[in-house]
Amino acid sequence: MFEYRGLLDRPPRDIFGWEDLFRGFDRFVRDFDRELTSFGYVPSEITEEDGRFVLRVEAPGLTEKDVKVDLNGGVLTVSAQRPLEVPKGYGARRRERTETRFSRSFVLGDKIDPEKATADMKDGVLTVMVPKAAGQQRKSIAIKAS
Amino acid sequence: MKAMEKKTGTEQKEQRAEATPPIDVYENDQEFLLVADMPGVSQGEAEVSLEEDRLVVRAKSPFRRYHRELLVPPSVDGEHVSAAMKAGVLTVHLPKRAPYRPRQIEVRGT
Repeated sequence: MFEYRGLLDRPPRDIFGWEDLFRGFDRFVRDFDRELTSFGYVPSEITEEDGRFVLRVEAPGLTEKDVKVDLNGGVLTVSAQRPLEVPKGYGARRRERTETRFSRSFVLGDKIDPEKATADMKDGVLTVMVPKAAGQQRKSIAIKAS
Repeated sequence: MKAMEKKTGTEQKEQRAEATPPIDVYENDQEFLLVADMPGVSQGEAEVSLEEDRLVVRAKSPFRRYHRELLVPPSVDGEHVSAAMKAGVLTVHLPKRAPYRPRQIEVRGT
């Protein structure tokens, strides 16, 4: 019988019509969110623009040294850690800010160009851009009148 | 007058559309230290002001606006408040007036 082994696994040969069902599910994950696994909450947004994926993560107080970006087998993983300590010599009166500790992965698929991926940290916002592989970008085709 | 203006409907609506940044407040003998997370805000886009007894923080990032007002205790020396913005984090130093700072008094022998 079919055993569910995680989102990345391909569905088995289609015997009972599962494939369509799971393709639908796979598509939902990929198109709606593209998120694979995660821990820790961090406001983030991944969008699919013409020709590239753009991931934006809010990580106030973090610099490029604190954040790790990894692209492996079509899966983009972003992780970071910011411990929140009371500044030396002060007592805390009010604490609303939360510790930043997260790891989030997104399935981008294999039709990307990892060599041209870029990551940029500015004002506490991380922006990762992953271009799609040549030939995967949307192309309009002119219709000629004959 | 300012308080009156605040109560108009449009003003209220605009405020709701703004994000409220999370804030930490720390204190020692010399000052209060306020720290606010406002990712996406660069140095030129943050504005800190003292309006009567309130500290008003306003900022703009490419994604949203931030707004926060806090009551400031009377012990704060409003003339010497300083603020800095770094990596999307705002820090504001609010020094205390001299009479509110602890002072060591030397005990002299006669």
